[in-house]
Amino acid sequence: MFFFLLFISSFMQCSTCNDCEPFAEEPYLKLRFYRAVDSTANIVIIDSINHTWAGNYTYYQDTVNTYLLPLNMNEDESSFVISYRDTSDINTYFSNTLSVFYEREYIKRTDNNIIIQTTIKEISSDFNLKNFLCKNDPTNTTNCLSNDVIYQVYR
Amino acid sequence: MMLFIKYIASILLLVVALAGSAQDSLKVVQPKDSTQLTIQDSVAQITQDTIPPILNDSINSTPSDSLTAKDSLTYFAIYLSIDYGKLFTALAQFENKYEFNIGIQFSKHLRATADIGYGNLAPPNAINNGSYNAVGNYYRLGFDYMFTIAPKTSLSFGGMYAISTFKDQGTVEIISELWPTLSQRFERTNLTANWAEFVITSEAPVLNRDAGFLSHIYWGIKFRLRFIIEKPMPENFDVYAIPGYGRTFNDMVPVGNLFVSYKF
Repeated sequence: MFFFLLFISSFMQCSTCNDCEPFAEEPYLKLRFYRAVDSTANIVIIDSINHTWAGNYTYYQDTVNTYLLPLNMNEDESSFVISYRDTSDINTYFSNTLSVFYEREYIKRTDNNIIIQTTIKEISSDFNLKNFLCKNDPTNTTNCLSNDVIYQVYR
Repeated sequence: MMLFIKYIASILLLVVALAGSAQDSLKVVQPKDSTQLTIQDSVAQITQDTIPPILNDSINSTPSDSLTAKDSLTYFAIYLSIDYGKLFTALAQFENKYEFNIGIQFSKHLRATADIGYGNLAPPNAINNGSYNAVGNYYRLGFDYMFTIAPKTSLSFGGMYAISTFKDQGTVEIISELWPTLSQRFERTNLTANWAEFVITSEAPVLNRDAGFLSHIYWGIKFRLRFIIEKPMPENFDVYAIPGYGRTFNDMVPVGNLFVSYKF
């Protein structure tokens, strides 16, 4: 009986999550800008995404200015009209369109929140030079989760 | 974790098996009394010589035969039980459960048991960014092996097979600043799950009475270890609770039940 009670008490402790990792609530795609001449980081200010102020979607990763583009959870595609300026010429505005196609899947996280996980099918844009990495691997372009993708623009 | 659970479960079963065999090995064999032997032998001799064959058969029936029949009559009992612990769940806002049990004891150690229950489960943290509710009935069948550990107090080990038929529904909401917020509702019907249970039951009379109504009332506690055999796997959203089984976050669930029963 003692072993049984000991077992129950140890087992019940597993139902709580003490080390749940932080997650973004929405699926997203990372966007980074580089200089085409030497592939160094290009500091670009995105003013708006789909005419919405873009300040909420920027963060720094590995000292590179990166943008998180949240994907539409109600559709299998998201299109972003991105309005931005180059820090070397702050007065000139550019606008490009980026379209992302994906499959959606409901996932329950360990913190009991249900999120949507998206697997990228295709990415297209009117940027001149671009590619995308999946988990930092340029050769891996299939069945890639959107949150693992970095879309790289060279200009 | 699974390895640890299997290890503990194996040890538990081993302990139960050893307890059973130890019980058998502790039986004391009474030496035959020489006086009885003589009298019985004499009676046998007399009946063979003087009593007609029809009467002779009844006298020749062995003491063990009549003891077995007497045992069956002595130990036959019917238990009707209710899980009063579950009645308290009516006070909780997130669940509502009822469970009734019938047990038929047909020998000193063996009892057949059957449970029927209803569960309306809405675990508040099943979906943090939404809600979830599962409603349905469940049924269990099984056997107990009983030991008397004190006068009128017994401990039993048993196994049960259970099946639940239910439906569930839920909602999910994911807020977006850029896109429309996702609000998804789901509902599934005709769901079925089944599982096995290892049950330890301890029961004793509520009051120490030798006769009367109160002498038939027992109460006790059950520890159950449930092992899921099959559960539904619907598309998009898992089943998070099964009436009669509980939360489905693991394939093995420990549970305690409080019950009161009337013994006929």
